Amino acid sequence: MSKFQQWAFILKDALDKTFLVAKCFCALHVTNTYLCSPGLVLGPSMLPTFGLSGELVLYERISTRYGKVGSGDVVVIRSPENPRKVVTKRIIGMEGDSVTYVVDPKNSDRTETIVVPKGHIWIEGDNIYLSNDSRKFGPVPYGLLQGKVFWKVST
Amino acid sequence: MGTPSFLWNICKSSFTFGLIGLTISDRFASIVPVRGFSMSPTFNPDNSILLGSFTDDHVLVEKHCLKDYKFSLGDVVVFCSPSSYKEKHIKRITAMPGDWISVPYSYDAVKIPEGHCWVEGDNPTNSLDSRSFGPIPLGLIRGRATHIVWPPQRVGKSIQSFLEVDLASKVSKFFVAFYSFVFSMRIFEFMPRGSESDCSLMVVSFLSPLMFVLFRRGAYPFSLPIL
Repeated sequence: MSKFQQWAFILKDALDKTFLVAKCFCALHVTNTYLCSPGLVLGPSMLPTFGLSGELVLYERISTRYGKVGSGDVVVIRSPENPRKVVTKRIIGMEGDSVTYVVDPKNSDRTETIVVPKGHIWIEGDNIYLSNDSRKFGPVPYGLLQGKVFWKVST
Repeated sequence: MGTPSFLWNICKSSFTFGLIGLTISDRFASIVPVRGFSMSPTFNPDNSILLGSFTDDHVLVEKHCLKDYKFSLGDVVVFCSPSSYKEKHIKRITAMPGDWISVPYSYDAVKIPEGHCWVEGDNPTNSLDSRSFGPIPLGLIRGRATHIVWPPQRVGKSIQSFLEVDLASKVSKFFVAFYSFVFSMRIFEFMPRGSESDCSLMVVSFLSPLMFVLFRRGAYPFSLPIL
């Protein structure tokens, strides 16, 4: 009987521990998806703002959920060309704004103006010479926004 | 035991269950109601507006496919509307990246760009879909509908593609036609009697019901190469 009780105790303890781990995992997931999460910015497309060699940033998820982002914010967005990738860009225009952009800054100064359609945003990298952004794939739907960068963790 | 501790316990357990519920609905699966008639033969086939949301179909939406964004032709997906991020729509994927699709009301075909897909409702007369807003990015997709779970008489109704059923009937018709053609050739002695043709005849007569069953069951790996 005492052996059985011992086993029951061990089992209960193990269950409690698993439940605790699962709870921690859930809390982490909810913080990550609904409050804020860390991200690593790599590459040359945001060059004056973020360096080449990868910088740790924190982005928050609340303001994008309630539509509180405006032009000028640096946002994290799911790439429309490859859904497995997220990219960091700056919002240039919200829906209804007219945006003037340089089509091909390396070769000419030709500019074009378009009006951003409903429910879309216009995003560009800070380094317009080396950036894969709305000038290539057009305005992106708002639903692709993941969060707004609010803190650059200095290295 | 005082009341504060009792209240505290209730708060704590509801908070825990909220966390767990959110995590499950985000990462694994959730249940959503389907409103409207845009997917009419598949969801809400004959619903009156009077009875309202009680008789709406509820579907199980699995989120596991969001890990690597792998979808196949004919999947029913839930996605954010591209024109307003607060709305969610449920439609069927009818073309994948790299496919060509003909745009209605004009005679040109468009190629679906990389990372996009073409979604259409099953009820073309009453559906706001890619025919009005163009291809949508795969990143807008929020899950894939797999089963109908709510109205008890409709649990387990298949939501497989109509495209595929169409294809199945076409394939079976083709086999029936081929079979009758071969058979008539045999009757009129146009085809020499030999072991080879006998064998092919047997294979065909055996294959056609098998193919029919396979396509009805929605065996994707079989349906794609023939397309």
